[in-house]
Amino acid sequence: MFDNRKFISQVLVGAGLLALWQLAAMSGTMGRDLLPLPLDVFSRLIELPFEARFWSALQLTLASAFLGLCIAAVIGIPLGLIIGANPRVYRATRFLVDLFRSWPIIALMPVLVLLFGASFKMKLIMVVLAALWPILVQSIYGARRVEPTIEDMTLSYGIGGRVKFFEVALPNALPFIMTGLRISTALSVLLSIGVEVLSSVPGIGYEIAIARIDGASAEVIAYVIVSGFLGLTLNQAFAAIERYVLAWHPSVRGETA
Amino acid sequence: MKLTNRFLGILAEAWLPVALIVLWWLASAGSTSLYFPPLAEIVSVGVRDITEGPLLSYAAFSLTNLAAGLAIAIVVGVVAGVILGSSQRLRDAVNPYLQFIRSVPQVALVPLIIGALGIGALPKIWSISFACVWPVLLNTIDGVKGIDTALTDFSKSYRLSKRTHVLDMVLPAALPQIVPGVRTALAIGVIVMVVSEIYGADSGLGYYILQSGRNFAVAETWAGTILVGLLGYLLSRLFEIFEHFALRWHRESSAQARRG
Amino acid sequence: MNTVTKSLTRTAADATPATPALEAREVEVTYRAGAFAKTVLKGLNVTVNPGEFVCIVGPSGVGKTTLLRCLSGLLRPTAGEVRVVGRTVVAPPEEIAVVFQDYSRSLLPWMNALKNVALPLKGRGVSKAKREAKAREVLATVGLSDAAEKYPWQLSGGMQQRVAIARALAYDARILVMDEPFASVDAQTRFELEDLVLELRDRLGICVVLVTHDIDEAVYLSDRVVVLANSPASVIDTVEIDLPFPRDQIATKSLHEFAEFRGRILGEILHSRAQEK
Ligand SMILES: Nc1ncnc2c1ncn2[C@@H]1O[C@H](COP(=O)(O)OP(=O)(O)OP(=O)(O)O)[C@@H](O)[C@H]1O
Ligand SMILES: [Mg+2]
Repeated sequence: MFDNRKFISQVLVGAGLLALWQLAAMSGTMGRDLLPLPLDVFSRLIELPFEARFWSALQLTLASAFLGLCIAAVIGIPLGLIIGANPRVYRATRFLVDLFRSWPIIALMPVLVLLFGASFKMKLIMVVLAALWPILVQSIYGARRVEPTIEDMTLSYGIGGRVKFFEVALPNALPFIMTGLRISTALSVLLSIGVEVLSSVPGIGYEIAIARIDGASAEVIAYVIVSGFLGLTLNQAFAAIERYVLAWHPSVRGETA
Repeated sequence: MKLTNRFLGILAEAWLPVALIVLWWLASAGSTSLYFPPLAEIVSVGVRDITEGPLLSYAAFSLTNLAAGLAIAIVVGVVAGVILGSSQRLRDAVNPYLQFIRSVPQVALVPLIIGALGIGALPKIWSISFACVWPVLLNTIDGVKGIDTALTDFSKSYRLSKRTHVLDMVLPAALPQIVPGVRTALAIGVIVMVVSEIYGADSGLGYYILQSGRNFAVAETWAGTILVGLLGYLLSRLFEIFEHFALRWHRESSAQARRG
Repeated sequence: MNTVTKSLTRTAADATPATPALEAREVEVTYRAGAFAKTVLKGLNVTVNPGEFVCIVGPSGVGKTTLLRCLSGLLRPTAGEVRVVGRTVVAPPEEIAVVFQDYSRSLLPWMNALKNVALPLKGRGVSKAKREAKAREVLATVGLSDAAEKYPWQLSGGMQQRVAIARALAYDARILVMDEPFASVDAQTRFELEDLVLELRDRLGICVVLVTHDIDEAVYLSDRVVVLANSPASVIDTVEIDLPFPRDQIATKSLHEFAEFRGRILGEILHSRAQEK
């Protein structure tokens, strides 16, 4: 269904924002340094896809974010389910989990640069360290939220071990795990770009930092816009995966029905 | 009996963290490794730099920026959120732009803002508030949007002023959603705070960590990192307490609204 | 309505029950939460013979679910013991399959009916081909051949309860334990399910222990009705229901004896209520 009025209002707002941007840039009150002309930014945006350097930066950022997320998931989900299923372990680890989930992992970067140098490996470790906690926390939460009836059912029907883990515990915690993964997806992009900005490891963030040093503010904004599209695309992709994986879940069923 | 139960409860939660710290302390005791200095040294360096060194003023710098940035973000986010939340048309018109801008990884803007405005406190406050405003805004919109039409009808039929309507009806009703938005904003704000100080500063905890790392004063780097971590933890716990009271106030105020 | 033929196994069991299929001896259960303690069951004795259909009735909150959890090994009694074919129960025994009160929660929403039914077999390490064949077979037994690929939330309440019953049958249990299995389906479906369970008992020679609020249902289904009352609860009466089999929803319920049994049990429950006050 195409809503005409909605579309027109959106175009109007877009045009208004552009005009405002143009005026502010021309008046120079904020300085060209901070605010380049829209046209300059758009022409840079159109040029970028024809440059090999752009694609390599995009690829490096995506690679560290994606790989880091996967590693964090492979560690965090089983670990979280084990911690959550075992009250003693849960209590013993509660403080540590609370501590690290609120730890600004980016502060570890200087230490990691000392240990591993300003390398892709260091960036990857940073991403894993940051993306791990939301996944872990949500997996623990999911494992602790088992319907008593389901618990009784598995006991009564002698379901245990691997079958219980893969067929009952894991799908039961899945809605929570997906929430953790969603938070961690955003975090892993944030960390990748943050590390690139700060430590001259190649990627989108590095391009931003370099362009900034060169005083190429149109390029800076162009790359910021690219990073926005990256975040948006990952968000949408994630939502699609979530709908597919949780097709049985009431929240998803309700939406599609 | 109650006391021993309580003691056992604390013990069940504390034994592992304590054991890990002791283990770290003992394992690192004679360490000559450049990267892993003895924990004892890290602690003593940390205490030294807090009591005699610059750490305390650095921490104050960081936290003031964080508080200022967060305050701006909350005010702007809540005000804009109430406006957008009350008008479906406005929401429709700005939604695509909102979705886009909130998807920009917040640290991407740090070089731009600090590069252009310099390394003082103000650019950091801008960076933080720009990063923090989106979760507050989006959650406020959701909260305001979800308000029962009965509330709006009530205000209309009793001819409450716009001001009373917003302050006494809309805000309390949306609070349970605004508060988690602020919680997310706090977490992002701490990250941006550190990033902005590592990127370019002459003060602050991030600066301390970066500088000591560059000078290979590894014990200081560890001390600063641990301090930032503990601060992050402390802030989130404090927020939890605040949240508890904020939402209790909300419960009481809505109960009062019902009675009155 | 379906009619149900009288079971041969039951006649055999009527003679001299050697070992009871299921037995609760002097069972006592106390729930504890910190300083708070509540004794729900005390000195409770129930015997279920092989092939027998026993219903447990009692007012809401008296402790019927608690008793069933003890009988099925999900809850250890504070005192006394539960025996299954002569063995003391310490963990949920293989002979027992439970059909839970809350069917919508005991079926896993992420699995279709077939997978739900086959799950207990998977837990036993039965091969995929075998367990799916068995699952299809029992689904057919409860009249759900066409719904095997459907998810629980695509099925009506009555159909969900059939899936839960099929799961219990797939487990090859000798004893079916059911907690208010038909409490949340409409009357028509309820009658169908009642007759289904009677028929299954006959066909498979299993014994059934069923908890219900509904005295009509208890009398209609049972060989014997156990009446719980008081707090802490104990058995205040055991009523042998010697109504003829096969039972029929209309004919059986219009028998003069049916009304008598019904009146007797209702009177006992109301009387115990009145005494409490
Ligand atoms: N886990 C528990 N902890 C404490 N008290 C409990 C617990 N489970 C049940 N009770 C209490 O024990 C009593 C018996 O509960 P039970 O569920 O066995 O009753 P019921 O006869 O099955 O009731 P209903 O007909 O409503 O299903 C109730 O008073 C209930 O409040
Ligand atoms: Mg019950």
